[in-house]
Amino acid sequence: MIILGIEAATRVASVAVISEEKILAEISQEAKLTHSETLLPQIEQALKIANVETVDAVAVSIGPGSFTGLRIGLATAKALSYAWQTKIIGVPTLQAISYHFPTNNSVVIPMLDAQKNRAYFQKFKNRQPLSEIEVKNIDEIVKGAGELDAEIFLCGEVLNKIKIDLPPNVKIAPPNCRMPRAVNVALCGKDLLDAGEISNVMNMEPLYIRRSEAEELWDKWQK
Amino acid sequence: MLLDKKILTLGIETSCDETAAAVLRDGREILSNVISTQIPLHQKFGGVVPEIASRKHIVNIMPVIDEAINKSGVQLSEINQIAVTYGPGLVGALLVGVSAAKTLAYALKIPLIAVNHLEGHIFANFLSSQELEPPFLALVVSGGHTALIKMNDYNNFELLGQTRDDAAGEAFDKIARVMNLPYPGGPEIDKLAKSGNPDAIDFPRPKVSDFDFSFSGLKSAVLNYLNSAHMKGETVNNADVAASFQKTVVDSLIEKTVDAAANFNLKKIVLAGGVAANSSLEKNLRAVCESNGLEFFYPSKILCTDNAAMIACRGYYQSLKKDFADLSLNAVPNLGFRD
Repeated sequence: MIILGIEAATRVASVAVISEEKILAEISQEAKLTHSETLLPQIEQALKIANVETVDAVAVSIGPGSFTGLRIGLATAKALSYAWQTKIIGVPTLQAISYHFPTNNSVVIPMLDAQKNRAYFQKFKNRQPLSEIEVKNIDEIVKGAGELDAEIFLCGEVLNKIKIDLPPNVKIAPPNCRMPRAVNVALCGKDLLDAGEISNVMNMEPLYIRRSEAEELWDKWQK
Repeated sequence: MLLDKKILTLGIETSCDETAAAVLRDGREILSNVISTQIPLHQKFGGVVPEIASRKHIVNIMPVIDEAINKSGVQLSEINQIAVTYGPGLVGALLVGVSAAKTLAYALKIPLIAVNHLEGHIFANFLSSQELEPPFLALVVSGGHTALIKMNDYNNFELLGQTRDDAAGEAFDKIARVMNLPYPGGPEIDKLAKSGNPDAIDFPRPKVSDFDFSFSGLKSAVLNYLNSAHMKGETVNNADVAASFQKTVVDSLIEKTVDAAANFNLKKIVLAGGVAANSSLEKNLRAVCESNGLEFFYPSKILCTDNAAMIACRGYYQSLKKDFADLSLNAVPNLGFRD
């Protein structure tokens, strides 16, 4: 079973090809380039390196994250799945990041930018969620982590926005385990596929969590 | 054998609030033309909300493409090339179509063509009028653009003039909003104007040199008229305002068009863009063309709105001169006419 992983939820554009437990190729970049320009050439190159023409399933990071990035990733994954008639799997972005820490000894909290000093976050132990996805002020999340009775690893893209001192039990993940990567998406996608969690290419959509500003304002005016 | 083969082009369009896909055989034969409009979703906001539009596109894109393929009676694997709108439009909306189109072209190993949405509107006329051929003069009137284009050949245009401020469609939408007409405002003003007197109010005629247009002064004059009546507590005859405003816009568009046709000795006039659906513009321009000995072309209603058949048509003619795009194609939200 060959799976193509696609990750475009943050400023990282990442593509990976895995075959069972073997990582055949991974191309990641965190540069100031737009995903719309880089993602497809990365896919082309990764498949070339992996020496495969097509894949058995496409796993795509579905959010939360940058709305535009998510849609570029999803439109790309959907079109591949449609043209190749392969399965498509929507992988929650925060869970994929938690695959950096496959351990029962600590809790990992990936945080992704939700604008206005807020982050989307979720707690994981050994790749399994301990809580729902929430949106909170970044420093509040760090404080909350300090109150947990466990070793905590914070990862994700808003670590530079933490303004308070880290509580003693809270650590920042090392750079290689911090940001989203497509190999995690592919591996998490494989686990979801094994559990029968396949998406429908005709109606799947990003996991936005937040509504559009216009809808939020509209509701405010109605009250 | 190869010469007999007909080219199948899949067109994809997501620049604003319609998700559209179409299959075209060679340059002018529409096999399918699927349009999924989002107008009802945006109505309560009084205009297109970009984030809501993008969210709808990403859900609709595959079903719309799938329906276009199914209705065309051909297989996806038989498609020879893909044409997609890459601008102008809303960036988030454009990116859904561009990403899907690029990826399909890559996965199917077929060429990709990047199409300018405004050029697509002109090419809608080739689908409505099979006999139409360049050279001609095109008046493009849409929500975001007002321009006069001299089409020398299928792949050779000259921009003669365009609006210096607001597009005609923008003025329609803004005035409709102040008059509390539902979105989209253009067709509502058109409807209301039918029961009004176009000579009731003397709004200032825009005065711009050459073949350029200007509508912001007119827009302000109409808004001032409405506001001052409101302040004085006078009742306004909305139908008269709509009819008088519309007449001023239409007169200005027609005057420049006829001047340009005479100046460049062009005998055919082509109307294009969303505002081409305006009944007064179509009727009056047709009449003026007839009395000036000019041939008038105008797309059918469905081809006036944003659609992918016109994108496939434009793409087909680009492909004849091997004007293909690569996999790094990006959306260009403020794309203008290319000379």
